[in-house]
Amino acid sequence: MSNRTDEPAADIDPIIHVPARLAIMAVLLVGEGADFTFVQKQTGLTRGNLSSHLMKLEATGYVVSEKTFVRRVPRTLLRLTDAGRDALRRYRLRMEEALRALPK
Amino acid sequence: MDSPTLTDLENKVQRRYDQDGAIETLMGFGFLLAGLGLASGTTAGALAPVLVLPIALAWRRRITYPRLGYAAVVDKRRGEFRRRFVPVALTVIALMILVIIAFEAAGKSVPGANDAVARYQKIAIGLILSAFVASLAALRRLPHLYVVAGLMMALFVGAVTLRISAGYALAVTGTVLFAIGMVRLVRFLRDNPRLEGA
Repeated sequence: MSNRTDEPAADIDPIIHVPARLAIMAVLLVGEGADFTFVQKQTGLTRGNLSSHLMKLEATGYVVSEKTFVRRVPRTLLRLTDAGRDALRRYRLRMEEALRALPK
Repeated sequence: MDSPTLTDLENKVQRRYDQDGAIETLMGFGFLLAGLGLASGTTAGALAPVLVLPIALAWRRRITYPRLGYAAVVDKRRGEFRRRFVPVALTVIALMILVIIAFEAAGKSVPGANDAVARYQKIAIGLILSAFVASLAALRRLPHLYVVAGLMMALFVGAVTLRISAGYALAVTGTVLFAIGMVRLVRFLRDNPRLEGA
């Protein structure tokens, strides 16, 4: 993560700032995970687009995918990691600061 | 405007899943079977849970999840719902048994009052079942079920007034619920096509 500067907008996490990735993280914030179809349905992204953004979020450590069984049915659940939740919380604070710093 | 809480968002997800019409269709089917069984004096109503439960279990797997996807919050919410719903269902069953026993005993102890006892018994059962539907409306945040609960009570009173079997009131309520469920299912299928690869 970059060092804080006097300019709040400069400190905004570029990984989350992409609308598609912000939408994915917002969807995963609710509950303890969701499958690919749920996230795709909620964000309206195409499969390819969602996959590429998920790869980026997984590489950053914000999202993790886990193969699990729900009522004996195999499912790949996507979950927000603790780092992802922290990053989202920080992002929100920075955005609020940045918007407050804007002249009316 | 206040930001939504996580609970608000969980409720929103849950409501989206409840749009699949499963609750209304399956409860309507159960009431219809039980009502027809009661009206015809057979035990057909006893088949209702046997037929409804397997369909209920398969519904989400076959219809809902391939269209909306799976969110773990739904299972979490289902657990919470079960914990609250089981006491309600057990209370309803216990009250029904108590009402039947109490009214049967009253009918026997007061000679010539059988007709009046039977009427009040029907109204009491209607009241309990309507309260059950209303409590389901509250637990699942399905406001249209309050209307069904009101209709059910009115139908039970109507059955008493017209001196017909309370089974018909139950069957009509079941048919209305089933129709609501079907309309919701059709809307759900139209608005949520199966996603490619789901």
